[in-house]
Amino acid sequence: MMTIERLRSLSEANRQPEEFEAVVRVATCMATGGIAAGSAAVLDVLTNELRERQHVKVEIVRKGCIGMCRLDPLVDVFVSGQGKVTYVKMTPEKMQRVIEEHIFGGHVVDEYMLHLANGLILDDYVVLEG
Amino acid sequence: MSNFEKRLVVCDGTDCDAPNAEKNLVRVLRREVMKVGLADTVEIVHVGCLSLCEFEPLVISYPDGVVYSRVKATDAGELVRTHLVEHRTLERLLAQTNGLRTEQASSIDHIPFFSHQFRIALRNCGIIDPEKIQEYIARDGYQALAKVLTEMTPAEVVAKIKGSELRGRGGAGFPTGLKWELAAREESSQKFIICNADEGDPGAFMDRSVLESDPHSILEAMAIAGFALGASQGFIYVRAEYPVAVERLRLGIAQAHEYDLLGENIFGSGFSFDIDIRLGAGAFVCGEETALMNSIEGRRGMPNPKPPFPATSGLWQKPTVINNVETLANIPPIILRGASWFSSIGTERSKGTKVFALGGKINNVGLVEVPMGTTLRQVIFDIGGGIPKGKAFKAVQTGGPSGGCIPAQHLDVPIDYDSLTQLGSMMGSGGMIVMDENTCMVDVARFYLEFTKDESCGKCSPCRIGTLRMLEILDKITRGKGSMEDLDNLRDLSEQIQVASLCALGQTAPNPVLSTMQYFWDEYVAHVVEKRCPAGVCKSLVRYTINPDLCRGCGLCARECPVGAISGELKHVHVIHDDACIRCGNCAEVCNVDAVLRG
Repeated sequence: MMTIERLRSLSEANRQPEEFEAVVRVATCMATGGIAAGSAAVLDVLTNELRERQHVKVEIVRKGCIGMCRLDPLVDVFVSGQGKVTYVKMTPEKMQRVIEEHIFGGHVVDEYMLHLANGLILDDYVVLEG
Repeated sequence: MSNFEKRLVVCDGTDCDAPNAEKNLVRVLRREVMKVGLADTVEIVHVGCLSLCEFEPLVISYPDGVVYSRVKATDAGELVRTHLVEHRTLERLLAQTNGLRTEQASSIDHIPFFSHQFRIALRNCGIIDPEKIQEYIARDGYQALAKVLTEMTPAEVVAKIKGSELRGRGGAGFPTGLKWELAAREESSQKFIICNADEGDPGAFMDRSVLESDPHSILEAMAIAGFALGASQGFIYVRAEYPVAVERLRLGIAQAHEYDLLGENIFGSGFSFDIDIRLGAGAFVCGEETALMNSIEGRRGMPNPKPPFPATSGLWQKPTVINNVETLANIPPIILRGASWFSSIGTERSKGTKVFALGGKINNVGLVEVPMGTTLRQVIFDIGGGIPKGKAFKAVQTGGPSGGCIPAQHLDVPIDYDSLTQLGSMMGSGGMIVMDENTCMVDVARFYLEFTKDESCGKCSPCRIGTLRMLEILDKITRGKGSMEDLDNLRDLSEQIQVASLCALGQTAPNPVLSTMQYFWDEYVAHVVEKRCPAGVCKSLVRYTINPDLCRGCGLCARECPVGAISGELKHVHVIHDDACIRCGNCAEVCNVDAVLRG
């Protein structure tokens, strides 16, 4: 039977520690909006890549909708001791580079982070020619 | 993936008619990059409007994220040499020097989109893994249920919800505590609690996000409601078109059973409660509570007259409470943090927060939660980031097919149930569709009428026949065949349908028409009298012509015309032949000098 004591200890036990066991934690939106924007394909790249190399412990977290659907797929990368970096408008190709350079290489990929000017978001530009 | 090491993103305003647009900045930059031998490593892309027109032309360098503003073609050489060859920033053109505040954000948590929000219903959305009950428990999940079952009486729970002054988030805004009290008061061997997740307004996805991102908050709230009313069974009526939500609810219910948070004798209190899922087949009318209950009982989803109200005679004639998803999501925090905490948020008669799904012509399409009393302007401009391509705001549609369009002069009205109703719209479930200057309001009214006409269940004639007649009149107007008499008939019909329809679907169906007639009467008159669509949307009323002063005779429009309705020799002014034109608008889209006039 569930008791208040058991619920409280479960709550304590599952609180996210400042330093989690996994060396790297990757989270993305897996609600309908995120999936429609391509988050499942982005996660697939990560899952497949991790199957190949098992020496770094990476936890994959499937979250719900944070509301910023405009920038989906959003990918949060937490590297132990370095805090969170959010990458916006991810694609399988961009994820590949984040895996190489950030998750395994330790260097944040500045280019895929959010860029703002006067609070306006610059990242979701439409390429007219290039 | 490209092999370029750097990318210069150029927004030079040629997409949004900036008067001094340097059309060849992209070309000049490419030439300069080639000159210094970096053509293989630096990619130059020309992009659409970033809504920072006063600072354009903008050049943004990636991966470093440096932004240069008001860059002229004559600056290109210096920019390339300094930034790309010498690896220094060119201070003179730096956006900051021009007063543009730029930043590269490693976390998106502090951008204006989030900092103006206040999240109660969405407290766990995007934070936890919805498929893991442990993560919900870690954020005080099921603590409210524990508190209710071990420390409170049903009457105390009802009193607390009443005290919070929470009102229904499904649209009508009926006080939730009062609804619970009416059902709790009934003597009955069985009562039911239903979660109405038949979200159907076009463009609205508040409930879907909560169900998909935080399903346990709904399960917990239903158990609390069950205890308060004396119900041992709950139903979630959810659209079959929400497969992810359905799957997560099923998983959530199974997990809650596994942890003894649903089922027999929860927390050893003697209270037993279970939840079943019922799938809706996609009929909009099933969001109406009596139609919803008919559908659960296995009949066609059609409404019944009220009274009797569900609180006295609902599902299988038993006392029943029907609450919307977002309403329920507010319950656990109210139990844990108190009624006075909740009622301290919001306005005099609308407490707490409201979730809105921002859509249409708005930069930050997405889901937001704001305290009641926040103004439309704050939601649309501060959080929503304003209108794309620097276009002008025209109206915002709230309340879906039951609501109305609110024009620019009312942007500073605080969002609460009463203010929106006063403006001829309504709070509704939370769809907020923004329209810009290129939207035809008659066409918008026609769109919503077509929706309600299709979704009318047919049980009562005012709604079944009336909405069809209204649609026919609106069709006539948008085809340029309307008269002033039609506008009178439209208003008469609207008023009759409002009072004579059986359920809220029909009673509110004329609202989009009436509110657009109230605020955009000129547009109706233009369609009817001048046979003109001011926004250039209604195809039968649009004429495309070429301005001979601007046309350079490039021939692009003639090549893009699918029916060969444009003629003209190269380097000479072209002409559109109106009888052949199908009004597709391709010519206006492709013209580089905006010589094609729509009107």
